[in-house]
Amino acid sequence: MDKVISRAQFLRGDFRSKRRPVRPPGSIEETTFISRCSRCGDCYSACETGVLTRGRGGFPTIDFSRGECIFCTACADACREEVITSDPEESTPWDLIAHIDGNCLAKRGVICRTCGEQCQHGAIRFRLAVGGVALLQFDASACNGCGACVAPCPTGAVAVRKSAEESP
Amino acid sequence: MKQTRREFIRNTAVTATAAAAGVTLPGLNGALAQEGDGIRWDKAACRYCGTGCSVLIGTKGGKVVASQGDPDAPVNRGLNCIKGYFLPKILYGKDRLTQPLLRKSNGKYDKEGDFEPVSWDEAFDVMAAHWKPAIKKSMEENAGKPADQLTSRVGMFGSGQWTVWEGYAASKLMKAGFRSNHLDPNARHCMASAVGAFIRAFGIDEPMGCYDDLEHADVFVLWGANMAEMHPILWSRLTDTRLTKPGCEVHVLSTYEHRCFELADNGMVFTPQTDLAIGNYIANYIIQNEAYNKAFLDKHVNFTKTPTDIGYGLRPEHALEKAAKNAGKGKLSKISFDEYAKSVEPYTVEHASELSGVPKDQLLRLAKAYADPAKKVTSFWTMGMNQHTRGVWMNGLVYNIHLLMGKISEPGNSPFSLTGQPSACGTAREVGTFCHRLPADLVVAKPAHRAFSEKVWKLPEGTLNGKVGYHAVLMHRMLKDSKLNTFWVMCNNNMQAAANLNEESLPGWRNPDAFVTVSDPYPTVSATAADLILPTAMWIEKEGAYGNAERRTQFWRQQTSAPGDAQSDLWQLMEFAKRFRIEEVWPEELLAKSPEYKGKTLYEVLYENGQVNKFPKQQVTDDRGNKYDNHEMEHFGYYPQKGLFEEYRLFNSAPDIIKKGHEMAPFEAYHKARGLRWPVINGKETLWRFREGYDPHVAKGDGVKFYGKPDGKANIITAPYEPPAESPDEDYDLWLSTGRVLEHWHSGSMTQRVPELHRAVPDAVIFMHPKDARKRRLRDGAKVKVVSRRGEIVTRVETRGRNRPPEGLVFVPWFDASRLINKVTLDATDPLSKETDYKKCAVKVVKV
Amino acid sequence: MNICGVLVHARPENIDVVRERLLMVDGVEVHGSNEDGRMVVTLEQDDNDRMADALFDFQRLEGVISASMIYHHSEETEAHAEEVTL
Repeated sequence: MDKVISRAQFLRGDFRSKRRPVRPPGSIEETTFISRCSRCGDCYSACETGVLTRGRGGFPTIDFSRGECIFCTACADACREEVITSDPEESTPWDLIAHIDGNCLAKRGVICRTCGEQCQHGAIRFRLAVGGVALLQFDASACNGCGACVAPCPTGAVAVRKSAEESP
Repeated sequence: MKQTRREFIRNTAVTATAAAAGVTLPGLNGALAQEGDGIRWDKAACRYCGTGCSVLIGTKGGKVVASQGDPDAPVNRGLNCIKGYFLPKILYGKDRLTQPLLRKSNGKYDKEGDFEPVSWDEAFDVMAAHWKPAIKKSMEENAGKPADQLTSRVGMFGSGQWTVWEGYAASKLMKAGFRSNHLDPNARHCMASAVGAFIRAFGIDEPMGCYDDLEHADVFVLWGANMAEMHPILWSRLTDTRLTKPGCEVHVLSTYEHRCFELADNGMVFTPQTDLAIGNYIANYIIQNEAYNKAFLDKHVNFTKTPTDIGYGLRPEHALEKAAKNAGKGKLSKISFDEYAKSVEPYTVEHASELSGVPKDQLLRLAKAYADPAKKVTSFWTMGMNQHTRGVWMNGLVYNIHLLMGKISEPGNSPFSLTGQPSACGTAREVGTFCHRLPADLVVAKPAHRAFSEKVWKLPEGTLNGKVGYHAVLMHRMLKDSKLNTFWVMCNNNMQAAANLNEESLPGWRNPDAFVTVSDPYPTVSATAADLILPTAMWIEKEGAYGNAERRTQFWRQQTSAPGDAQSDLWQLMEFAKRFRIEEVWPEELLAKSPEYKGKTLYEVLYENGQVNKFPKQQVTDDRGNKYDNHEMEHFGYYPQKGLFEEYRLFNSAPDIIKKGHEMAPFEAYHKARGLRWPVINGKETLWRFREGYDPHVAKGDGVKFYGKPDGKANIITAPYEPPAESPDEDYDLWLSTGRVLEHWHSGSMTQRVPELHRAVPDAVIFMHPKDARKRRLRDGAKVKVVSRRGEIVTRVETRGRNRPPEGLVFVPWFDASRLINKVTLDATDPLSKETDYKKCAVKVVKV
Repeated sequence: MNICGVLVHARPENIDVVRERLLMVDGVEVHGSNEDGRMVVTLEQDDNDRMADALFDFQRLEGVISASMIYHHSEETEAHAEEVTL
């Protein structure tokens, strides 16, 4: 597999980049990000929803257990080092979407629609069905990776990861 | 039989699926959850709503470790909702109360003191020290008064979540022991309007149909019920029918759009209170088109009218009460069919549409569904219709429609009042915990009913009080007015649940003349507002029984022990009775009629009466030989649950009973069955009442007989549209409706302690229309104050999500103890049922 | 090991065709059905996601009205062959 991993990832034994932290939307490419970010904390102080927080090594990291990203660009506006930017040319694409795993209650025949209530983009819908519970239907093309569905999930079945990434 | 583990699990999967599908497969054993891994599995009725699902409880090492929907349960067929999935976690909240707590300063009880742990002995000593003088004062006040004019200064507020025998024991303690009818359950907030309408129309409480109607109906009409969230299991059965039965349609009526609208073929949002006009319009349509069932009407129905302009159940000095011509009146008078037809004539489709805001074609479609003789119609309702200042009327208007068409008491044709609590029917309604009732539909006001109850309870003639006691809302008013001095609240959270808590509840409880005891497993809003808190064993920490909305009585065994010193409500009631000598609660002249009771305790008179203590201690086992504890049996030295239930059966199943129709099976039968629907005659349950072939009380050749009424006929009761107690105006420009969400149950005292559920829905938000939000310059998530003439709360705006109110109406759930919406609501009640209208008052919403 | 019990509801007239199609999916067994088209099916897969996918595929099979999971057993251990006595 032709894949570059960071030394930190190597030391953590994270060969599949699974535990790579999520940077805010508008972040530049990761290795440059790490080298240029001054870890001043202006970005997460500016975050409107509190989803952006001080992560490993003091770098800004999105923690969806704290809330959702509303793409307000407050973090980019606050960034003096311009490692977070509103310029689409500079930044890496935000290709995250929700992944829902087998712990999902609805998939296990329990009446739960919590994530669907949070999704404002129509990516998670529930279709009424015969014989049991409404069925979860996920439309990856409608998902913008805001992460609103992560924290409320009662079984922790939702994660936001790269769209191409396989589920664990 | 040997098999591999994989085969075993596969068989389990097949069994569970077959049960859910209603498919019978040969050669399968009934075992579903795996016995093994040291886990003991047993059935129990779910602790939450009135659906009455059965769950399987897995216990290991004295702790509940697993649960699942019960595949053998006819109600839920293995399914579970999210609350049920996490059910056992309600036992293990971090702040579970394990010892009694009393407000104290300097080592002594002080109403203004702080809570300190005390022993049960001290707790009951202090409690009795307050109850005894209150009872003494009542006895002095009652000297020389006849039985139907007795008053009392002691009261209790009970619950539709009490087990059957707890409610029964409480009823007996208050009504027979303390001779006080100030006992009311929280079901007053929930089902009282339904009860009132059942008695007025049919003379006997509870639905004639059952959940099997969910598969038999062609048309479903929801009148103020959000089944998708509040009765999700029944909703999945309804969905099933809608999606598989050709021609099946679903009509949904509500004051805002909710999840049921997803399935609705005809979803109608109406202006609050105008359901009265819609109900009358449908009746008018049926009559105008001569679609009614004439033969049925001639044989089985009387036409009556009810007094109008009856007020709003507020304090008598309130302007609305003074203005009402017939405040509180409900006596029916007979009218002719023609008079009835004339009374609904003004309700044309134009008039109904104009009042309600529902387009004419939608109303017409609904009316046609009812009027089509070829379609079987089941109507469902819950709080939207019951929590209504004209709730009894409105329930009646729906019965009118079904009776006009004869669409009643047969599979699929069912007017069906759903319940919100697990034993609103089984306990609150059936064992007489209302302030006007005695067990099995008997009432305190009738001398013959009192005499019969006195005989069953072995009481001297004249013991029972014939004056109707204080109902739920009145209790808080009377505490505030110092007329009620001791108050015991069990198994509910009424400080959070009762309306207008700022002006009535809190001043009542904190009145220096009042001593308030709350029994609860958790430090709820109510517990922390009390003077004494008693820690309570909950749900499967005791042997129990619930009765659900389809008359199904279900039992469970004690699965685990309560933590610390927590004790069941039953233990508390019976132990407290030991604190009273009979001379302290009954006057001399009464005791003179039963001198054998002299010198005895109330406990001995009520519970060691040769009936309740009739069944000796035994080992409780299931049919697989698993053993179960029974803490109360161990403590009292006999089987109190069995004794109480069998004594209760003397009210509903003995040969000399006054009112037939409530017959129940012997105690042991229920431990074996997945519940049985009463009347149970010769071991057989009854699915549809009042119809020959289904109900053994209806003789051959009678066809239909509404035997709750002396002439066997049901009442059609005409009632007009009357405006609500409070409507939006210039100052308070929005309607407020309150209710629940799927993830939380009632006041959240249990579900908010389940981390997964709390995480799913942490706070109550205010649902509003985007235009209303824009007008006030509010965006989603904005902090706002919801203000009424009575109080205010702070919450956040939600314009999307599960509930979509129309412009001019906001919706706030009431589960959230940190956002007490009942500071805002109005304590207007239905003057007939005394049930509060939580669904409509006027508020304004302002940015914080 | 993942074993789940699935209730598949087909139009009664399609029941035989649906049974054939279901059996083409790996790990599927059909245990029985009734006259209104409800079929008791088990599905065994070692992978959680493939399980969810298979279930989703059931939904889309021609002639199927719905498929819903009623029972789900999932465990990590390899001791499937261990005998149990009933």
